[in-house]
Amino acid sequence: MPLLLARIDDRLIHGQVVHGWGGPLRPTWIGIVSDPLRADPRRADLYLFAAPEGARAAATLHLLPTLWHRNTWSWSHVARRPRLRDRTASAQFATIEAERSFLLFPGPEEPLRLKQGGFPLVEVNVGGLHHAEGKVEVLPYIHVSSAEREALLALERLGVRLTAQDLPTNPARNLAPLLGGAA
Amino acid sequence: MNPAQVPQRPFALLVTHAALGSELLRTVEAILGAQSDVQVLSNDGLSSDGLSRAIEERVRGVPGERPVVVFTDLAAGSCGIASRRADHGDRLVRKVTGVNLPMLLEFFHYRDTLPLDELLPRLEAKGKAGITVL
Repeated sequence: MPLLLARIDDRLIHGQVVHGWGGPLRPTWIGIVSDPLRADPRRADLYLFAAPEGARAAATLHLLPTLWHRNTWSWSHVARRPRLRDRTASAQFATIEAERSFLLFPGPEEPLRLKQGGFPLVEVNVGGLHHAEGKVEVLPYIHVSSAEREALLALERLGVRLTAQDLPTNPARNLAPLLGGAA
Repeated sequence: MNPAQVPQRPFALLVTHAALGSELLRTVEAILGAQSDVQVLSNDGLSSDGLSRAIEERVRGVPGERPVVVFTDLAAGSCGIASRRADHGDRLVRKVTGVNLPMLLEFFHYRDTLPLDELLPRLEAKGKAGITVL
């Protein structure tokens, strides 16, 4: 099974991902690629609480590249609590291929590092980069700093298709041409 | 009841997607009348970090030592996650997910008469009891 969704979204796990995308695509495995989360177990633990309603029985949540969350969405008082796990890169690739997988990135730097490291990213959905000081609006749900813009364009130069789309029911747009005037 | 007579009255902060919180409050006020000691925060346009900070700022702005109850909609959504992530120091802040109208009516009806430890389980029970498949 190919990777179903690779998404840049600074909210990571939230309603649009869990319900908007998770409903129709029914992921069984979700990986978050974030070194800051890896360094902040208390914050990382919050995401174990998140659960796609449509995939509650089987979905798993992982933090990449080196810290993984294992989570049965049906986690309850009788289920064993999910644990953080370290995995090798090859094990990660094998899992992503074997499952109905989502990869989530808090910004463009993480997918760029994955791609530069040889991860076979083909397309990245850019679904949520919210406004902050110093960022420029590209679309109402995409705001980029100059560093983020450069990282996105670097991804595109590496052959990754950048699609702007917040929800699957809204039209997808080719993001790269929209970045030209953003910075 | 005059809020000044209830120094420990819990303050409500509704943190929701889009306009759900403001519409819930508008509906509560249509049923119970105007309410004070309540604020609404939408996640519109806010990142995960921004929403957590906004919750922290709103809580800091609550006068006195009043406890704060943060109501959120989706437990697994940005609001639920940000509410659990927000750091309020020693301030008494309780979080309730899955906010609905029966729960809020219970809160505003009883917040001046029941201690928080009794009120919160009632909110959970009332919110769940309000769901019936016919």
